[in-house]
Amino acid sequence: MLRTPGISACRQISTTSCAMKNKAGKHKSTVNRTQLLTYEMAQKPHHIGVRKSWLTWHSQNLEEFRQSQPVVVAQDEIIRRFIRGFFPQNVVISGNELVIKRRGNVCIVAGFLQYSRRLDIRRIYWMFGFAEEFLSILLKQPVKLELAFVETEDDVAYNYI
Amino acid sequence: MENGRKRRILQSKVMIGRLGLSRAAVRGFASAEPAKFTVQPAIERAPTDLLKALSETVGTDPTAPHFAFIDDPATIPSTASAKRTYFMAKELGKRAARELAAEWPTLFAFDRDQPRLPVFRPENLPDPLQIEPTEKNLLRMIESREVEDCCLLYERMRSENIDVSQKTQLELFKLVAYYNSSNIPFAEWVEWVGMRNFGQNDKAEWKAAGVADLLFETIPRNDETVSIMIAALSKFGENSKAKALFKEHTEAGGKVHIEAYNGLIANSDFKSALDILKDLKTIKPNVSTFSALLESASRIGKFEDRINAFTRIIGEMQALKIEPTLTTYYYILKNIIDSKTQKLLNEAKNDESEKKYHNQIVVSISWLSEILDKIENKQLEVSSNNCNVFFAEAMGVAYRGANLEISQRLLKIYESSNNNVKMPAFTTESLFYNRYLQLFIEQSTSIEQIYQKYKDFVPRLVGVSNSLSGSVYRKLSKEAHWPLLRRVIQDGISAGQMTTAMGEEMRKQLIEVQYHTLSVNERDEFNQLVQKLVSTWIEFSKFTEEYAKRLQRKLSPSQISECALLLTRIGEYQKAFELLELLLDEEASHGEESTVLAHGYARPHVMSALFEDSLRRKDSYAAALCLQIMSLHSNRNKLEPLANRIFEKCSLTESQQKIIQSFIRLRPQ
Repeated sequence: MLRTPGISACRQISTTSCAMKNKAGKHKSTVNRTQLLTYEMAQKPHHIGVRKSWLTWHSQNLEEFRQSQPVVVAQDEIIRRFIRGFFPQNVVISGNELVIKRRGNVCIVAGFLQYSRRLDIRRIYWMFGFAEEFLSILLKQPVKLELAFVETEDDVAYNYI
Repeated sequence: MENGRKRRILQSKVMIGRLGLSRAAVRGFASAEPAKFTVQPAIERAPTDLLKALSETVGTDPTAPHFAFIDDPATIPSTASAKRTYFMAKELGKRAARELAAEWPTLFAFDRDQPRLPVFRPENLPDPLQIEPTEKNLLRMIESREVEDCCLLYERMRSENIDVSQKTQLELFKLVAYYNSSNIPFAEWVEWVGMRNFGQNDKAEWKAAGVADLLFETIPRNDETVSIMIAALSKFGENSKAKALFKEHTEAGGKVHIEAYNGLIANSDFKSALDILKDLKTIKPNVSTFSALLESASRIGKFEDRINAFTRIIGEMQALKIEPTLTTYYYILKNIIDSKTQKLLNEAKNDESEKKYHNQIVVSISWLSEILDKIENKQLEVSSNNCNVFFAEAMGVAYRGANLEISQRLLKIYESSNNNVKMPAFTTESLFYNRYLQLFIEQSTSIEQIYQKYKDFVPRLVGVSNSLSGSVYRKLSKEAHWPLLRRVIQDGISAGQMTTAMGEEMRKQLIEVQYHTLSVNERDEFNQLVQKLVSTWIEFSKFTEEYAKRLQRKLSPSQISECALLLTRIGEYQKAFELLELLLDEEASHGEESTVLAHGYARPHVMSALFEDSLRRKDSYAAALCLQIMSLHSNRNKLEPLANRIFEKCSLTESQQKIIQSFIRLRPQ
């Protein structure tokens, strides 16, 4: 009933073979080079093991501090979502560039925040205290924030493509 | 054994020569005796030994911010009040999160911890009006030191005629008497450090007919309960009641404990305190007794009598072989100088009060010197909750006596590994280092050393303050030192001094800098600093919008002239004269959107320096502008020679000269 006249049913099924192209870790460039890349984002997939390995040094392979991998993944997701939701005006690159470090039983959240329009330092301290304690209670382990401030998102730019 | 080893080595060398290395190795392994491994016994170490070794090697970086703060230049506080505000803000944030978790525990049930950690499961305190009124619950509350809740629950149990055993009543009595039926003071909060150090309780008065009085009437009287009551009454200023109770009990043949005596002594005048002390026949006095005695001796009005009393007390302690503690010394140093004399000296200086004050300072310095002799090289341990204040008090004495040597000895003792008495950071410790640094700046003759000390202490240990910056500026006026000046100004900027009177001092100091003596790098630094300061001051003046008006700091004419001079020093002539033009612009100083103060005048010496500079550059426009500004507050006689100099130095057309001449002629004579 709703068939478009002139298009046969077989044309709705794609029969071409897929390109199997690896797109992970690759950023699409823009015509006027406005896509911001941080240092981490600018690394090509084949450089990850060499240039970004320091982001994954942790103590999860030590006997006393080992947690099961799904827990770590869940924790990461909780932390990222919380930081994104709690500092919505301050996160840079939509909060995708947070680094979560695990040292002993401590979980350290590192990265950059921007001032947004104005920097109310007292408010920031309150929020840091709240976020640290909230996440500590939630994850049942000490969580520390090591977030540094930049004036605008442009300050974390390594390259524009 | 040794010979055998040598022989084997020799044989193997010979073999290597004959058979080649690889063969020799094979033969050697085949014929070698099985190697003996001995595992060395593990060195026994305490759990913190490794950390201690690390801390000895690494040490604290005094120039880094305190670990409690966010390590970012924008968020590191530099003044004492900012430190307090930020620390408390963070702590209150934490408390808010804890409250949330205690209120809605199910939202935090990501329970993967094994074993379960109660520290991450905050719970609300039980409500004394809802909880089951049992003795067990009461005891639990007593243990958690929730004093007011205990009182409520106890009163509820009494109204519901629930029996409370004698033992529990005694426990409750001890608690409520010690804390005067109020919650524990901030100084005893364990979990929240900020509240512990910054929180201040009002001086409490004894709650008459409260739970403590009620319990005291209920439980049987014996030496212990009476002693507790006397100590509590003395602690909260009910001296007459305490004395009456003491008298009543001793007359009935009872004996009170040493704590009760200490309380009575501390609140009495020195003469009565000695009388009470005479009653101590069977009980041996302790250090606290002598601290109490010193407290009572501090109320003696006459300086000589007070010193005699202190000497007698210390002599008595030596006779009884009681080692004085830092608390003992603290009471002596705190009360040695007459507060009255100091007040008199501050109000009206005269020879007599000055001499008196000087004499007291000399005595206190000699006491302090002897105290330091005693505690040097000694292991110092915590003896009471206020023993750490000794260091701050002693530094105060050294500061008043302007004795750098004593202060350095004191600092060495405080920082030595033998000292386990540490002052809380941001409060007492900051005061201690501040006094030391001020004294060092005032007394030291080497500006380089002052720079080093300043870098070490500010802003981590000592907060930036007007008095500190002022004393550094005074030193810098006598001897120039660009790195120190730059550092003090930068600290001043982050401490918000730019819009206060210190801003004027900053400009004055920068004008005094001999630009030609600076190195290339230093000139760059100077240029950047001046640019930054001037643009900030201008920005502050431009907050003319209604919502930002409270932030506005209008430029004063003197400020404009000084900024212009600084800009000419760094070669920013155009900016400088644009700024100077504001002084002649009516709109800039009047109306809703004015950015310049209507009153005040440009500094004459600054204007003449700007004028000279314009002449040197043969800039007739700039020179004429300076002349016009100077004409606002000068008469014709003063302006004429200046106009003539413009004619001499700059090549002006005839009509230009005429304009200037007629302008001068119109000025008042």
